[in-house]
Amino acid sequence: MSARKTPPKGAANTPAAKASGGPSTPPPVPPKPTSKAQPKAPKASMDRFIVGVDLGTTHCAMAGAPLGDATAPPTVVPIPQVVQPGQVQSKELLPSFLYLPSEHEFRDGAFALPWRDSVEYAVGTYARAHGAKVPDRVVSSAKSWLCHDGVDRTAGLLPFRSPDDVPKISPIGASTRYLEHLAAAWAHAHPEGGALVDQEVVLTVPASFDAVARDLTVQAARAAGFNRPILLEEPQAALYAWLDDQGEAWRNYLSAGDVVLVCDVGGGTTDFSLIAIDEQQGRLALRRIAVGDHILLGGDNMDLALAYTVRQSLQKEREIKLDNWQLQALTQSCRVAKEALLNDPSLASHPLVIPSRGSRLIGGTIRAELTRAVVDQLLVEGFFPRCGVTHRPRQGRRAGLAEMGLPYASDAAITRHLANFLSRHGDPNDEERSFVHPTAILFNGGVLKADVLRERIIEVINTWVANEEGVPVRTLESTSLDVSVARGAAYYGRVRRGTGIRIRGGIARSYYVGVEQAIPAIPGFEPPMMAVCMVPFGMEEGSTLDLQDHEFGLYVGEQSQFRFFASSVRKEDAAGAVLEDWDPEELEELPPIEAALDSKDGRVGQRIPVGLRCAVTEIGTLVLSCVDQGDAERVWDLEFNVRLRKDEWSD
Amino acid sequence: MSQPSFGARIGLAFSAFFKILFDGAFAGRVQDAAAGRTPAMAPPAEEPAATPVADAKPVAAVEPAAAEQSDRSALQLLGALQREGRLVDFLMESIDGAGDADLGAAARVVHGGCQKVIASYFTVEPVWPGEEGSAVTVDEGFDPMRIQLTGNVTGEPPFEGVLQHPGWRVERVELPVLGKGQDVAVLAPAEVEL
Repeated sequence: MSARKTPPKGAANTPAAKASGGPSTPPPVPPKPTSKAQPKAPKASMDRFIVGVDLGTTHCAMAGAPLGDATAPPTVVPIPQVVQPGQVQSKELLPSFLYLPSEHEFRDGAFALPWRDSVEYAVGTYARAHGAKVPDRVVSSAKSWLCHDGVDRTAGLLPFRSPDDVPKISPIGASTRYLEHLAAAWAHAHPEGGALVDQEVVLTVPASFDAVARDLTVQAARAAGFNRPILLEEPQAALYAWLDDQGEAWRNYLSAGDVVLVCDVGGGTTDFSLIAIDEQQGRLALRRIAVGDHILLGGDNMDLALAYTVRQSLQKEREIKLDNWQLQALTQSCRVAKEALLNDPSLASHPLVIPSRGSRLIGGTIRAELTRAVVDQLLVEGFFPRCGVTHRPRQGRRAGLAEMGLPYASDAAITRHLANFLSRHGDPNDEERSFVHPTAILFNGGVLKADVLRERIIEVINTWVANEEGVPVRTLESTSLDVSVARGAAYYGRVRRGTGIRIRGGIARSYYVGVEQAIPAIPGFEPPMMAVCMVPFGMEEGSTLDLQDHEFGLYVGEQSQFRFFASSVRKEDAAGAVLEDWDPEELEELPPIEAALDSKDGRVGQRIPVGLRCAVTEIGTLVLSCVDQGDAERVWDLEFNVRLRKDEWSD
Repeated sequence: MSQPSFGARIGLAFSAFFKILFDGAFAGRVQDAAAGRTPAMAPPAEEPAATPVADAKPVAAVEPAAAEQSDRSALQLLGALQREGRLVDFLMESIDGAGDADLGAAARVVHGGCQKVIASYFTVEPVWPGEEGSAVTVDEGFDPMRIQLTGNVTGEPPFEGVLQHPGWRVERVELPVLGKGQDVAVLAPAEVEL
């Protein structure tokens, strides 16, 4: 991370500032006026903000936009964090790491923050740095665990597979900690501007998050004290940031008929979305038409791939064995070298240094090289190979019990995942195009700062498109790939209030409830299951649907359960559509939904006929409920049973 | 006058650097000393009057807190340079007999890490952002703290000269905020792996 040019609010309290009194010392605060969203004297107390929060897999960021001034661009809010025991520094990014120390490890107050003296854990820069040395006590990638349905996401299972005496936290709990930290950082930066929990907060989630993962994210936000978190898909946020940068000029770049591919490769995940530009009553309208699957693949995988390769060649060619500490240092060094080589095509190689662990640096430092050939072969060809649009990601062997850990992508080729995504969302009736031809592409995520990777993606897409006589894709230039999601989220908060252009699209999946088919019982055979579409693709926020023609009986005093499915590709199914059989690729089973009718609702054992109702809330979550067919006032909410693991509900 | 060893002088140079940076009064005295003026603070031996005592007292009474604070900042910075750039490891080791390849490898660790710290804690900019070796004019009323004249210094400004070094000036200092009771004298804790 590079140094920020603008000091945070806390800068005036640094020891350096206090020590500077004499005329000959440099001023601790730069003389230039800052553009950060800082409370500007008395008026600030009146201001309210829309705050965009990017709760990332590897980093969090936060941006605020004042409500009173619709022309002020959203600005990134610095986040004070522990950088060393007893030392706090503000940074633009908060690494999404949580360190859970042993009681003997640190003195009291080592993790104190400007707003809290006694903190039993560390979040951010130090958690990441120290966690590399004590891997059993650090929680990382909590967000990926949040959408991992192979585990009970409410249970304390992180740090994963750590010894028994290490305190455990659930994926929701870890996410809550990050959000609490951001809320406190906001309050610290805006002492008179009101607490973050009272501001309008837009929280970004991967487009690939299904209704359950979204629901869990909102639970974490509520636990952190946020009153009304609003969800926004990250690729949409990236496009909003671009719209904000362009202002009215965006119409020069996009016109009706365009399809924008948002390609977001972050530290830990890869996320695709398609957004179409339509014309409605003479005005351009943006509509998100497709989202991709959750792919656990990102920049961290690339750094690791380089480090492992260098380690192997050190061992083979120079008989140098690296321990885990040195491997961490090598990974850091590879990251720096990778960025240098990717950003400067004239370099043939970049030195790598692995410092000695002891105090003898001279002679103890191992020097190696990262060559362009390795970067080209491993990163460009390994992660972004040229491939055909008909190619699909390789499926790894799924060994039953080994599946407990995070389901990392078994194929590292991002271009093959992209081929799969564009093909799945193509129109099967279109005889000329076997896949969606994007006309423009917007890149997001730190990895894609590298020109060579962006160019490779464009080259691959253009080859696919050219084979079907389509037009080459254009690039939408974006700035600040690290913090644009937070900025775009703040912009979206304004859009919700009628300023700026809105991307429509509604819900990104269709959802189905499993119903047993009514056929005569055959001993030894389970009645076949059919899936009834309950929530059609694209259902808008703030709308409600009652499922017609299907009545269910719920028994008082019992837990009633329904199997539940989602699809990101079946976009044509209307509410009530019945699927008697389906391709397992099309429909993914989610945790069951269940409702409990207790005895105040009637006599135990009594059967109550109900209908199903679904609502897409304004904040972007699904609310499913059962409605008494005899008394529409009686409604029972259906909850996702996330305590079950996937193997306990499927099969 | 004592003549400290080279090693001791490295330490002294460091602490003097930070003391000058953060302690205005001290910087003024160094400036005087460098200019060959009598240091205002040196207790003149043959002047037993009350003045030096009066001069020294307020300094003794007021200075400690500030001095301690600047010492803490200096130690904090030194700790960061060690942590990220292994600077203290590097300087405490003898380089006699070390090969240039080993020195070069170590220097890369020091350079990369220390650069990160400097960029994170300071914004450093040239005092005179011009090309080295270019002809420049020093106008009347220039600030002698920012611009130092060398060579044939005669006559009246404006002076015509050649920019030898553009200088450096710190435009922003932003050290991490230190918690209470933090022992910053520990530049690097001893590490014990379990």
